[in-house]
Amino acid sequence: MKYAGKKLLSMLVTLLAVSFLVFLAFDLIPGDPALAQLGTNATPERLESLREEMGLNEPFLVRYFKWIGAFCTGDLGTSYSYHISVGDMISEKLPISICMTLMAFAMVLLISIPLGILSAKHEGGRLDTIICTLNQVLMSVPPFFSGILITLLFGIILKWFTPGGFVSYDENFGAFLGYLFFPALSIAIPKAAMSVKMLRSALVTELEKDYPRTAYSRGNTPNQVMYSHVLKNGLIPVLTFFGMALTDILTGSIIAEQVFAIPGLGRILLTSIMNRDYPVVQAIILLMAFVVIVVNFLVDLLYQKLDPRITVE
Amino acid sequence: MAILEIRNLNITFSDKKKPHRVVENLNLTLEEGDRLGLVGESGSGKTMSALAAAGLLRQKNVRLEGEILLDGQNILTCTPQELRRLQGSRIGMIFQEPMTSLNPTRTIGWQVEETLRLHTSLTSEERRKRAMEALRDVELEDAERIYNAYPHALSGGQRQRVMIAAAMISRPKLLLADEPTTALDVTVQQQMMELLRKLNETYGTAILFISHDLALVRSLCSRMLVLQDGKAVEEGASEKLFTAPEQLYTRELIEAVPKFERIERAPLKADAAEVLCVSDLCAFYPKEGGGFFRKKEKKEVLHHISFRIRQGEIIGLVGESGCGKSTLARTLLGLHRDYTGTVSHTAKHPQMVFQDAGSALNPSRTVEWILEEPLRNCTDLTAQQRRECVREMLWLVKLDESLQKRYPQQLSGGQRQRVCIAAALMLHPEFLIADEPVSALDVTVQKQILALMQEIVQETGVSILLISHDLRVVYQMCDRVLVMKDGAIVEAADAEEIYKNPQHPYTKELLRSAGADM
Amino acid sequence: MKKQSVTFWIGAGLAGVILLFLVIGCFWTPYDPEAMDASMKLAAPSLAHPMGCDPFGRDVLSRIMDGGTITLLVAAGTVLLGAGLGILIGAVTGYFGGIADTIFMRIADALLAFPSVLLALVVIALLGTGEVNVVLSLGISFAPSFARVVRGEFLRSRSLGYVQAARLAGASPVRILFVHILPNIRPVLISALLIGFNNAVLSEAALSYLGIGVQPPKASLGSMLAESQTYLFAAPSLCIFPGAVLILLVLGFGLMGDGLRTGRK
Repeated sequence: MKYAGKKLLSMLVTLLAVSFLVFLAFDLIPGDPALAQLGTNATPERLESLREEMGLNEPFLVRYFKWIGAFCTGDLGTSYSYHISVGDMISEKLPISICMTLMAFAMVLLISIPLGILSAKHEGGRLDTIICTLNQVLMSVPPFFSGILITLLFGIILKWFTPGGFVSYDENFGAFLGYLFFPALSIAIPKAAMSVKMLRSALVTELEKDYPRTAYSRGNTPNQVMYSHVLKNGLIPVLTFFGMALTDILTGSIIAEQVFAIPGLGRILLTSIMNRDYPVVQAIILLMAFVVIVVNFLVDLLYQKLDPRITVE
Repeated sequence: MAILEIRNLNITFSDKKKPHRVVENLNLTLEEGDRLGLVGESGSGKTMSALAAAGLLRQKNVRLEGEILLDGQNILTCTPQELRRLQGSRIGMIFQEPMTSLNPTRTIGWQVEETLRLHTSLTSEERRKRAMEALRDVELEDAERIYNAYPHALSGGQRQRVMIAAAMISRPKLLLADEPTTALDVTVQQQMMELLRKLNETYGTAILFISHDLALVRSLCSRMLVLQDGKAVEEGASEKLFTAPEQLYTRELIEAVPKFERIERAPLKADAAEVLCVSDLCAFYPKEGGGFFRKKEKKEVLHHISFRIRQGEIIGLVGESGCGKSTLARTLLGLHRDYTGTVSHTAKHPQMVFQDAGSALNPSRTVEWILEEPLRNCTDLTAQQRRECVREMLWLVKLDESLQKRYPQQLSGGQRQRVCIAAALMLHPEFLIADEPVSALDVTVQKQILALMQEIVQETGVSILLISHDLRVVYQMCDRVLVMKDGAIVEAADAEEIYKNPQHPYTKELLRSAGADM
Repeated sequence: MKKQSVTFWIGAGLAGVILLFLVIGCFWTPYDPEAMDASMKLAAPSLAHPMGCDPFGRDVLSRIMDGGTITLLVAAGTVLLGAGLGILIGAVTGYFGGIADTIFMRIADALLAFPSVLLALVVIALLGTGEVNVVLSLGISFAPSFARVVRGEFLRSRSLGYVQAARLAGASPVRILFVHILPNIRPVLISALLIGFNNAVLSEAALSYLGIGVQPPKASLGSMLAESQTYLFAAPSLCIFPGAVLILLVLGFGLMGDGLRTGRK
C-alpha cells in the first residue's frame, strides 16, 4: 500500500505542475480577457471595473489558486464566444469522446493481444512475416487518412454507414454506438499495429531468456510455456505502451471527430482554438492532461500488481 | 543398467549459411546412481551435449544425429508427448544462472510443483506437501516462507537450491547439472556440492555434472570425460585422470588449475617506498528509496579499513561477492567519493584492470585509439611518439602489432584482457588495481595472464592490489593478503602465513572451499 | 561498417525515392502548383496530369511535389530542434545525475503528460498557426521523449567499464560525453531520430489536416487530404495520391529504423 501512496503523491505533484504550466501558458498570451469580452469601444472605467470583477488585478499566484480551486469544484469558467458555462459545454460532449475512446481501446486490445501472441509463436515463420509486414504498413498510415479510407470503403463503396450521419446518444444509443464503430476503428488500426509489434518483440525477448528453457525441461508444451510462463512477463513492458495508447487514442479522437463530422470535445477544442476562446481551450486541455496523468497512475498500480519485483523499501 | 547412453552423437547448428558442428561423435554411458563429470573449456560443446540429453535441442535449426537412450528410450526419435513424459518423470535439469532460469513473476512454490502439476494427478494439497518436502530436502530453512516468495527475494545460493528442489521433486533417475555453481560464491559452491552428493546417495539419482572447473569435478564425480572442440579427448576414473593423464590436452587443463603454489619471484626490496596508505576508511552508499521530503539515508558499506602498499608489492584482497571489494577499489581510484578517513598515495595515475574486459574497452574504438587515449589526455606527446609508445606497450603485453587496428569485439577474451592491462600501463602508473582480472577467462588463459602480470611487476616495479574471490590465485601471486568480509578486513597477513596458519574462521572456510589441505 | 539487414535497404530505397521526388519538387514541378485551370476541374488521372487535377483545376502531382517539400522541411526542423534539445539535456542529466536530473525529469514527466498532438495544439493556441509555429510546437513536444531515451543510454553507460577506464585515462567530462559515449549510442540515437522524423511527418500532416498547421494557399499533404475529403465521392483519386506519398515516406523510414534495430542484435 505504501507503493500506491507514493505513486498517488507523485501523481498529485504532476497534476499540480501540469495545471500550473497550463495556467502560466495562457496567462502569458498577449491580450486582455476583459477587453476581449467587452470589445474595443468599451470605456476605461467599465474595463477597469470588469477587470476588478474578474479578479485580473490580483497577483498571479492568487489568481492561479482561485482558478484551480474553482476547477476542482466544477466551475470551469465562461466561454468568451458563447457566454455560457464551459462546464456545461464540456459535460454535454464528454460521453461522445469517452465512448469513442473506450471503444477504440477495446479494439486495440482485442486485435493486438491475439495477433502478438500468434506472431511471436511463429517467430521467423511465414505467418510472422506476413503479420509483421502488414503491421509496418498499417503503422505508417496517418490516423486521419485511415479515417478517410474507411469512409471511402465502408461509407461510399460498401455503404455500410452514412458519412456525416451522426446520431446523438440521447436520441438513439444503439445508432450512436453503431456510428462510432468506424471512427473508433480508424483510430484503433494504426495503434493496434504498433501494439502487435511491441507485444511480439516483448514476447520474443522473453522466449529467448533462460526460464522458458527451464519450463521446457519440466515437460511443458510450447502452448503451456507461452500462456503460463512467458505471456505475463511479456505483458509487463507492454503495459506502459497500452497506457500511452489509451491517451493517444483520446487525442486521436480529436482528429477522428473531424474526419467523421462528430460534434464531440475535439470539435469544440478546435473551434475554440480558431476563435481564441481561451477559457474553453484551457479547460479541455487541462481535462485531457488530467486523464492522461490518472491513466499513468493506474498503469503504475497495475504494474505493481503484475510484477512482484516492484516493491518499496 | 545404464540410465543414459549416448551413442555417436553429432550436433550441428545450421543457423547461418554454413553449418557449424558443435559436438562430434560423442559416446558416453552413465550407470544408475553414477556421478559423471563432463569437463571442457568454453566452446567445447559440453552444454550442448547436456541440452541434447535433456531433449531441449529438438529445434528446426539444429541437426541431431546418433542416439541418446534414456532408460532405453531414444530421446531423439520419440514423440513429443513421450519426450515430455520423460522430462517430467525421469530427467531433472539445473542451469548455470539460477536467477534467470527461474520465472520472475511466479512464486517459488508454483515453480517447484510444476512438474507434478503437469504430469501427475495429485491434488493441490498433496503437491504442496511434496513441494515442502523437496524444499526441506535441499536444506532450505524456512520452507514455508520460501514457498510463497518470488525468486528476486532469495539469495543466489537459495535460488540454486530451489532449482534443485524443482528438478528433484519427481525423483528423476538422472540429474543434469550444467555449471550449477559457477555463478555462486566459493563457500556456497562447496555446500552445493555436498548437497548434490547427498541427494545422489539418498535417492540414487545419477548425476551428469558439467563444469569447466576440474577441481570441482574431481571432488564430486567418480569418472570424468574431457571435451575439446566438441570431441571427447579422454575418459576415465577421476583420480586416475588427475594423477596420470594420458592426453596432452588433459595434462594442460590439469596444470592450469590454480593450486596453492607460489610463483617464484625476486623478494621485495627492504627499503621499498610506500605508494599507498589507507587509514580508517569508511565508504557510504545512499539507501534505496527515500521520500520526497526526507533526506536520503546512507548505508556504511566499508568499515574502518587501513592498510598500506609498498613499491613493487602485490597485495591480494579476497572476499565473496557483495563484500565491498569493488567499492574499495573505486574509492581508492577516486571513482567513488562518499567516504571518510584518508587515502594518500604518491602514485601519479593510479589505474585499474577490470574483470570484464569486454565492457572495459570502448567498442567503437580501435585498440590503437584506446591505448593512445591516456597519452592524448595527460601528455604532450606528438602523434608519432604516441604510436611509438603503443608499439612498445603491445610488445610488453605480448600482443602482435597487427592487432592495433582491430576493434575490441574482434579479439579473444585473453587478448582483450592484455589490451586492458596495456591501457592501464600507458601512463606508467606506480599503482594498479586489478579487479578479478582472470575470473572471466578459461583456465589455460588465466594462467598466461597471471604470468604476464608477474613479469610486468618485475619489469616496471608497479605495485598491484589484486582483487579476487579465488584464494589460490591470490596465494600464487601476492606478497600479502587481506581477507574481507561484509565490508571489513577480518585478517591481514603474509600469503605464506595465511595459508599455513589462518586465524579467522572465515579465512579457514575460504581455504577449505578452495581445496587447501588442512 | 557492419552489414545492414535487407529490411533497412528496402526502407532506404523507398524513403530515397520519395525524398528524391520531393527534393525535385523544390526546384521544378510539371505545372505551377497554384495555377488554376477551370477546364480541368477534378480531371481524372491522364498522361498530361498523371495524378489528375483538384477542384480548382490545379495539377495534383505538382501540388504534392510542392506540398511534400513543406512537410519535409517542417519534419526536419522539428527533429533538429527536438533532438538537439533532447540530446543535450539527456546527456547532461543522464551522466551527471543529481538535482538537475531530478528537476529536468520532473519537467519532462509533466510535458510527457500531454500527448504530442495535444501539446502542439496548446502551443499553436498560444502562438498562432503557420509553419514556424508548427516546428516550434512539435519540436518542444518531442524534446522530452528524446531526452528520456538519451538520458537512459547515458545513465546505463555511466557505470560501464570503458567509461570508468576513460575517467582513469584522464578524459574530461565533455570528452567522455561526446567522444567516448556518444559514438556508442549512435544506433539507439539513429533509430530514435528515424522514429522522431516519422512522428513529425504524421503530426504535421494531422495539424494541417485540422486546418491549424500550414495555411492556404500553400499546399501541404495534410491540407490536401482535408480538401479531398469533400470530393471523396466524385474523385477518390484526390485523396489516394497524397495519402500514398505520406504512407510510403513513413513506411520507408520505419523500415530503416526496424532494420537498424534488428541488425544490431
